[in-house]
Amino acid sequence: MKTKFAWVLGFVLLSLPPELPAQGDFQSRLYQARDKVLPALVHVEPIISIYTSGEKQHTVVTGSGVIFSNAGYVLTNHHVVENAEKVWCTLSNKERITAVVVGSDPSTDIAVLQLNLDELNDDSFEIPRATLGNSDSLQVGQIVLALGSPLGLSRSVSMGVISSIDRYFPDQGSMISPYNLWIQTDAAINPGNSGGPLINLEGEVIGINARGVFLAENLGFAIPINLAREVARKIIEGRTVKRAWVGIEIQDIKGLREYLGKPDFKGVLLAQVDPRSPAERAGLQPGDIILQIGSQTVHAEFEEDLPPVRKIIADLPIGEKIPFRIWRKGNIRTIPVETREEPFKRGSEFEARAWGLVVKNIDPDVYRVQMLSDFFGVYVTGVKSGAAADQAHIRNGDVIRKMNGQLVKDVETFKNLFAQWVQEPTVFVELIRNGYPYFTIIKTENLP
Amino acid sequence: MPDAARLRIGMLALLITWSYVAPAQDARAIFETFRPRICLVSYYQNIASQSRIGSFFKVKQYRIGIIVNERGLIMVSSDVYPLSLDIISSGGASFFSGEPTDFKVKLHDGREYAAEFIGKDDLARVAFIQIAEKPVEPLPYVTFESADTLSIGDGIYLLELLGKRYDFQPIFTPLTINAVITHPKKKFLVNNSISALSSGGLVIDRRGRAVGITLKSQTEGGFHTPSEFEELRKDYLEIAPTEWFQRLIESPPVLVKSIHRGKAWMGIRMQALTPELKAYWKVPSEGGVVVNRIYPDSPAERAGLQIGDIILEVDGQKLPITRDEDLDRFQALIRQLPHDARISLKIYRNGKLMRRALQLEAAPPAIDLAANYQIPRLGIEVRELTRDVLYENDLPLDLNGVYVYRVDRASPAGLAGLEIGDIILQVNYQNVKNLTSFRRTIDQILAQNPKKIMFFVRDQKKTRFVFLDVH
Repeated sequence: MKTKFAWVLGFVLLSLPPELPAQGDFQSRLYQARDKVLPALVHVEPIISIYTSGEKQHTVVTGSGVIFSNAGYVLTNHHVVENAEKVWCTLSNKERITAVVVGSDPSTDIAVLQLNLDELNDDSFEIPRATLGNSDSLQVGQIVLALGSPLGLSRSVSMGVISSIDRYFPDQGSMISPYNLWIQTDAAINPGNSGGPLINLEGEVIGINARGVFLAENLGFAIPINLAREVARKIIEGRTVKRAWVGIEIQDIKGLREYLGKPDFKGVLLAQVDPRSPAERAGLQPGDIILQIGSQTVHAEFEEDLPPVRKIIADLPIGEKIPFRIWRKGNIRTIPVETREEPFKRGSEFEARAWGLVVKNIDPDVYRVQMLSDFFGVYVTGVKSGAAADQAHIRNGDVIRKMNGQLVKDVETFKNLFAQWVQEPTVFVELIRNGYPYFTIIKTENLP
Repeated sequence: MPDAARLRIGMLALLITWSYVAPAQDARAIFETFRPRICLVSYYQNIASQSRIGSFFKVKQYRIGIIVNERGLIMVSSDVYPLSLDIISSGGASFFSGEPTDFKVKLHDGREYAAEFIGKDDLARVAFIQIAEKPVEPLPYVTFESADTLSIGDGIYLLELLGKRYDFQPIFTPLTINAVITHPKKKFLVNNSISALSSGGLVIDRRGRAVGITLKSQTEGGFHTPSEFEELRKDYLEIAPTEWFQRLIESPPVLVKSIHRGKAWMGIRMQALTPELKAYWKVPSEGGVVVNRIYPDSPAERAGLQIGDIILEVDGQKLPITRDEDLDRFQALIRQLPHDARISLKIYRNGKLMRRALQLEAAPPAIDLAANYQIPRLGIEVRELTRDVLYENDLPLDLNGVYVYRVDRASPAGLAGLEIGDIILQVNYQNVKNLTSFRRTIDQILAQNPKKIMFFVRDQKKTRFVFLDVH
């Protein structure tokens, strides 16, 4: 069934359907759209540090971006500039200048760069700027263009249609955004297109191309521009994106509706309440149906309806008591829940070179796998073979909890303690491995 | 049996024993002596169907058996029964392993008997089956003798059976002990390259004394360090000396699931006292075991052990353990003790030496043996929650629920997203206390032919609701 469908779709695209505007008319619209955005397209080449086997290495990656303000702000993907030490940008006049990463948000995979415009040699060059459109009014079947540098081939344009406007990926792994649905397109998107704009025939940016599918054809996914715009604004204003957290997981209520025999029931099913979270302290329970959060009614009939609800929670003011109106076994009650800031600090890896060790802040996956009881510690992403950390039997995935008896709260504390003790011959380390303590000594004397 | 008859049989047994311990036998005579004392054991391994709960594929398996008494007690490799008996011994089972059935024993002269599984010991790696009907005349059997004097360079004979393709003919191979492994338990390595039914094969020394059995070599799961690439696998066999299983022949382990007793168990996880840790903690002696996890409701917890305690001695015996690789010595030391032994520990805690008495217990049974309930209509098999599941997932011991042991992917449960390893906490808003209460609840619900059933489940860390469409 699926293959047949794909074949039919391919056939339709190859033989131009009669509904399209006349050839010349359509072509000129493509040119107009292209001309509005292509000058603002940026070829992004960050020099990133990657840590392979516990040692820092540098590499250059290729991505795309689009200038959206006269001040030289560029929208791109978080995963393009993650761990970037320097970012090179090539503009439409072929000048290559550097940019700084203003801010980056892993949860939505959006980053904002600012071009160092004073590096431009051509004084007459006017900074081109693309117009950001509205991703709420998109339609399946609408013609779109993807602009970018697929596989490093800069300033490429490909065309396709929007294949879906509400593609949902269950929250698996750190690369998937829990806060939005994805725009799916069959316009060719390859590695290097990441961060580039997806535009409509009016020449407005309607999405930021973020990923393709390995070994698939004509399957590309873009982040809706309305979300990207909002994150970019927060980044430019505050340089980090803060999100409220109450410690719950939610489910759609389709199954529950059928089970209860209430087809009109509206709300969101509360599936999980995290231990020691604001929601648990407030007394929310799995099985509660959330009807309203603050002043906003919430409803998720299908799983595609979940990201907006997560976003409503993330956008709540931090440190305030928010009334949650819930349905519990036939009774309706309102429970105030005090929000706090999302406990997982992101940020880049840190290399403790003298020990041959690379660490990162705890993320939700590590928190779960290592069965942590709080959000403190750093986790090990690399151990250099033969170095002090390796000799101390520290392994990838371990969580460093304490050093010489002092709590390692996050990468910042780790950096400070490391600087303090790097000259010491031995440092006593308490790890958490598979959920339980493991004691070891990092010894820097007598190393080969 | 009248005393005179018993005496006669005793004399006969003595004579048989006598006839083959006499020295200076040639290889052929040794072969002829032992050939009637081994047999072919066949059985069905039952592999659970992935697509229909309650259905099994039967795979016929063959092993070499050693007759160890005149009434037809047969010793085979423990891998005939892959299920784990307790939380510390791994039988090597997967979720799809069922219990073995239809044991048959074929003697060298072609006589065939039905047999029953008696029990097994995962430490000694042997299992016992018993011929069901009493043999008309006493069977010739093997008496094992100590392998203490066996050493590197000594000659031995292997008596095994070839595989099906050679119609299970006996194979007799003179070999030399190539290596003696002393830790954690003494065993021998020999070169061996003809493939045969080797698990549980008979090892005889050059004087014609039965001194051990062959073990299935346990394959390494990948390389841990680059240097292990050097250790290219060659064909070899491991030999367990008589001392591993001698006392089991005298009183074979009997598996009665409801009263099964596990191996002796302390209830801790540990790491080695490395020289670095010893120096840091200023521990007064070399080597020891650092406790880094204590299971709730375990002997260690009752004895007041704490995380960070360093065990230096067990019953006055020092523990020369300075590398994590040597921890299995300590585990072997504890597991071979009687399950109810009381031991004395010398412990170093916060700079002080102290003694603690610890009452060992039998390790709790594993999920492999737990009572189960299969619901083909929903496509699941659930089991009573066991300690291994609770310990491994760090769940409270008083957690009520049942364990999802198998899920048919295309069933109502599979389609609803229920996963192996989930724990069902509630069914249709009713709490699940244990397997009995789950069974009662679900049977009542199914009797009413519902369209939808709601499960509230948890996996390692998260809870969620699962809605099953029942057709």
